[in-house]
Amino acid sequence: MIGIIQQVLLELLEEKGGEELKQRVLKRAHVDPSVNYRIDKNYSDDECLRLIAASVEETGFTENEVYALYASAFLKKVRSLFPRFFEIADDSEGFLLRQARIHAVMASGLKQQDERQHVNDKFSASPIEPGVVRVIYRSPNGLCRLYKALAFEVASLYGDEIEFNEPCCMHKGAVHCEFIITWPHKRQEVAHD
Amino acid sequence: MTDADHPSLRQVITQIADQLCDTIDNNFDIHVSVDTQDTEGQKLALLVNFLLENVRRSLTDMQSLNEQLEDKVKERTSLLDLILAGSNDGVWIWDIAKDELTLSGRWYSMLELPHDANTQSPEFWYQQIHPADRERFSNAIRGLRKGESEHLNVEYRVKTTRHGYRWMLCRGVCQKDNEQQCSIVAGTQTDISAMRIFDQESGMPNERYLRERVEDALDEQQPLFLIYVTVENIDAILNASEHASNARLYPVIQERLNQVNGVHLVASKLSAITFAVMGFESELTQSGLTIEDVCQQIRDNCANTHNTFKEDARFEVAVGAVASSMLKIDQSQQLINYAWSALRRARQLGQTCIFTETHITQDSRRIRVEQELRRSLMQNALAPDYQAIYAGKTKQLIGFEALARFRHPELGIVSPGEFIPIAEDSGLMRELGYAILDRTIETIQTWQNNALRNHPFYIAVNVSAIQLEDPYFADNVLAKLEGAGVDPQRLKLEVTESTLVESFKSAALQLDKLRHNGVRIALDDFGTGYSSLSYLRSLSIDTLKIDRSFVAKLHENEQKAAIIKTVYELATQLRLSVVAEGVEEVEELNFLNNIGDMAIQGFLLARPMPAKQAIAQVSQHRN
Repeated sequence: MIGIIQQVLLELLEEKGGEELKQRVLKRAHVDPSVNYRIDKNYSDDECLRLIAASVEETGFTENEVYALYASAFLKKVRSLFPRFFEIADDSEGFLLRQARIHAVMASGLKQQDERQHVNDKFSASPIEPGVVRVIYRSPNGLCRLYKALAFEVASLYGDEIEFNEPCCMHKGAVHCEFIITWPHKRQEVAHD
Repeated sequence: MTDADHPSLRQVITQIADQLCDTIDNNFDIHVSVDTQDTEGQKLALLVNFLLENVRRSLTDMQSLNEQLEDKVKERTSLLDLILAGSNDGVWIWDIAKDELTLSGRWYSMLELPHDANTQSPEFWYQQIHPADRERFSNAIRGLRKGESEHLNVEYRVKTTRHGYRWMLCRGVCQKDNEQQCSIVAGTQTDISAMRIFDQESGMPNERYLRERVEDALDEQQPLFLIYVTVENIDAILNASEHASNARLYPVIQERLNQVNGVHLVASKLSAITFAVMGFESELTQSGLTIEDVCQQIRDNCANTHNTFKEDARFEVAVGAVASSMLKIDQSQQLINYAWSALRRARQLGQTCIFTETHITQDSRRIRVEQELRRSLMQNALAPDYQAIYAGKTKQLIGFEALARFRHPELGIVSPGEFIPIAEDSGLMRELGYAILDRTIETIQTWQNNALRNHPFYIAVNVSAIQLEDPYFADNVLAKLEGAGVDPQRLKLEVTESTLVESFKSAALQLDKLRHNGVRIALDDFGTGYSSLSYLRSLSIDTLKIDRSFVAKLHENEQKAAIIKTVYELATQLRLSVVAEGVEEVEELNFLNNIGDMAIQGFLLARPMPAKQAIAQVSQHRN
């Protein structure tokens, strides 16, 4: 995974519980305590998943709560690093349609073409009709709930309300996760037209 | 830590910039990396790599698109090549700016030229075109380039190396540049010779082909000869054989016309029964033959009995010929006209006719006579002569026959033997017939009101076949009679067998209608045709006119006398009146009177003369 993921997680842990919490998580996850994650480098998926699991265990929060906190911190971080991505999109729908490309930006830091392709293939977003977007997520990491948290966080950032449906999920045996994100106010505008 | 461990942002930018220099050779497959802990530096590297990734993807997409386009182009080109091969057309592309012409291999092969991969000048194309067609071609190209026409569609002849000129259809369109000027003209060339110069039914060259070959030969000052042949019995052969058909007959005819040893002949089909054979006089000289020899050979070929259609088929032909050098002819139309004239004479005389200077003189007069006849008809200047007909025994006036006469201030008196055939050939018979009829009705009107007021008489008028073919002929005649206030019984129409044979059914209808309304009908030249008796059975007539050939010297000829007696008896039985024509001697008159009561027409009693003289003579006769 791109280093920014882990970087944000560690910064969040430090914010919530100081260096001490951060070190406990690193230790539980069997990660080098002096690790310094770079945003332009790729790191082990398994390591990242261990860090997330250790965070849940050490903070006492539920997984969803961790994802929600993480989503907020992650968006804040990305927004500070790449504010222009947020300015380009008029609303959360525009942003989420670009999310796969933004994810690809992150993948650009990977040196190997096959590594970049692997990251690029994780997400694809396409508009079904105005106010309805379909997202396909394919990753053995199975972080669909993190994506959901991020989606709501993005909507909140733009002041939008969304409905989030997951017609199929890898956790339920599907080959990929599919998200149908709907903007009810846009659907109403279309209906009136 | 040293500065080397933590390069400044400036150094990071330099690192990235240096690595980007590798793209100078269009190599975008690079990955920029920086050695900094500074997030902003890392971010810059990340975004540069994102950009490079986009460029790589775009290039890959473009390459893929290019390959797809190339495949598409190959596919389209392949299809186009297939279509062009299927159409068998030549292709031409004219780059106006460069003034260069690109021609396909097929284009060259159409002209029987080797393929030249180099471009040509438009002048090269122009030079291949027949001189007579170049202007038309140039005008068509000009019109297309100026935008006066959207498509080029022009026919012309091109010279081939072995087979003379062939007809081509050239089609094309113009491509315009940004300034709406014609920049490229391109199109196809189709060989249409088969359609233009071949007769579809027989596959033989047609009249147009012949005309063009004659023109070309005379333009190149190559003396040539034409032999026109009419196969008179084509219909009979087709009817006689269950195996014959036009499609099978024409190749046989063509073969017989072409086969003359030592001379290359080309036979063309001019009509269903008339053909033309063309050859060069130089070959006659080389082979030691004359044009008469060739004509005779053709006649022999046609008369030769071949086993055709499983029965013997012998062609009965009329042959007319003309040689260009003999008469110093250099105009194609003139040569063709003379060939037709020779054929016409051949058909009339029943023997081969080689056109000579004498014929030219005769034809000149013929043309003059036709012109003046036509003019006279338009001016209503023709007036018939009238020959009185008398009862043989009582010498009482019975009637007259109106005889067509053509008197011209410059031509003089043109005999019926001359102007009637000219009228027939030139389609003036209908007009002539009506002119005589109209004047006759006028004359009846005049005489019945004046000189012959109290005297029964009729005037007989000869009717032509073409008049009898007119479904309104009877109505027209009756209307004229009514308009003139003339009793229909004063008009007698004379028909001959040859008049009836062409369309008996329509003729009979018209005559019946006329007779029903009082007009009388006479069968002229009785006994001279093949089926005079059958007409007696089939037609309602009033009078038989015995031909002069039976009357002349009948008193010295038992056969003639017997025939006339028999005809008279037959006519009497049928209650028909009889007129004996051509009585010139008293002995003839007396003999006829001994046979019975018949009307007499002939120089002995009255000559044909204009109306005034005719009626004056009648008055004299009465007195």
